[in-house]
Amino acid sequence: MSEKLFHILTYLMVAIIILPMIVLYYEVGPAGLAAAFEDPQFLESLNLTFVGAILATMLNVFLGTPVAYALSRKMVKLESTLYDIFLSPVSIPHTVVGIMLLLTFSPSSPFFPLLKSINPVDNILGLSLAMFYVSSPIYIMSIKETFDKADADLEYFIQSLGKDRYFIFEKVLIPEHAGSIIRIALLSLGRAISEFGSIIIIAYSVTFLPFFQYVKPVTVFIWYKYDVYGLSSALGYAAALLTISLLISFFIYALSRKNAQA
Amino acid sequence: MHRLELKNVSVKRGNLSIGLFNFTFKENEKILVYGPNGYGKTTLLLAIAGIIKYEGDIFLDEKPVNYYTLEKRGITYAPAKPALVNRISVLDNLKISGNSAAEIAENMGLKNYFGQKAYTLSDGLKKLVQVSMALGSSAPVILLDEPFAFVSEEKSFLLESVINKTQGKIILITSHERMQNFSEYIDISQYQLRNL
Repeated sequence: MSEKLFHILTYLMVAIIILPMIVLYYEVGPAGLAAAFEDPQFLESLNLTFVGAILATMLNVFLGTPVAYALSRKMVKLESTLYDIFLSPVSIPHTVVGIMLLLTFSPSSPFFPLLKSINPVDNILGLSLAMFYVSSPIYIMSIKETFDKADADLEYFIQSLGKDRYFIFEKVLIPEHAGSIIRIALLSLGRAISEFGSIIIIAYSVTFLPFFQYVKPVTVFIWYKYDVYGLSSALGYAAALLTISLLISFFIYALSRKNAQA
Repeated sequence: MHRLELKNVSVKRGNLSIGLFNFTFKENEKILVYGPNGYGKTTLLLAIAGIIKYEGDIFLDEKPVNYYTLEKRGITYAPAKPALVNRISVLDNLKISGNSAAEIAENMGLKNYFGQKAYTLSDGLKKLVQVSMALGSSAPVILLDEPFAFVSEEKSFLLESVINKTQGKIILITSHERMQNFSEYIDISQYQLRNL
């Protein structure tokens, strides 16, 4: 009986996750899905979102990876407090993140004299910044966990050969954990793509290349369709974005399997 | 002429407590630390390397090294577990240590493996590469934790001869059994302060 209970709970949870997806695909159908992918406005929106998410992910990789290493090896003072600060965006409502970012760069901000040359409102900078803010905790947490599990003996050995921490970071940890870093970067890319709450405030409609026209990030685009034209107008786009998100998830899963086998 | 001095060195690690170690080792000496598992052979090496905390003083060439970081201490520690950078080639691993590491590895018959990624090697071969890296380092003191573990009998003879031929260094080796041909022996079971 006890084992059966676990089975029931597992399938119940799977159902809660999968049923809404099935219903969405059922309502949209293949034709609706194809139509969404053929809509140039949606593709432009998707393009903008990917550019923003890739920039946010690059920032995560270049900034978050060394920071996670420093935290993992306790190289900085108050590392557990700093770690809590890095994880704090997880519990901050994303609309609040949007308002905070907006305010930080506004003329009323005490830091305005320093930041006045930076304007992140309704442009790619604001979009990437908001995406970075909300996706960085996932990146830092996962990379730190990876580094925590790294072979300490190997690091001691290389260090005792006269090599410093940077050498170990660059020549030992990065090659050893490249697969995990790519997987975690994809995870944070997925999180960045799905962001809505903060970008509706700071990057609702973004001036975007090549013609500097206004483009909505894809989650805002879907919300706009729903809010202005009704549910039926948003369905196809929602299913299209779900497909992309699932593809990223499967790709992450495949990479994790490959890493586990290596 | 390199000298490694241990003055009143003692180490506590979990339930293990070992000491007091008072030794002076000179260049070209090969010292065997032997005794049963769990008696602190590795702990002693970790303390000398500065990886774990210890009481007492350690001097290298008459300079105190207590507060030196691992990379500046002049003491190379090769762990018991075969540890290499798996995703790069054997030769690239050897290059981390220095030019003579590749030469030592060649003497141990490893040249054919130079182009292979380290993860493709058996634990025994990894161990030989690791010892080559340690012996090829510029550090005057080399600590080899169980260098013969995982290594085949045939390669063990070769490894022993390479270690014995190494000049200009002080080499400490751990083993659970007392082996021949060492300049000095430390029976770790004689240094138990508290082993619960």
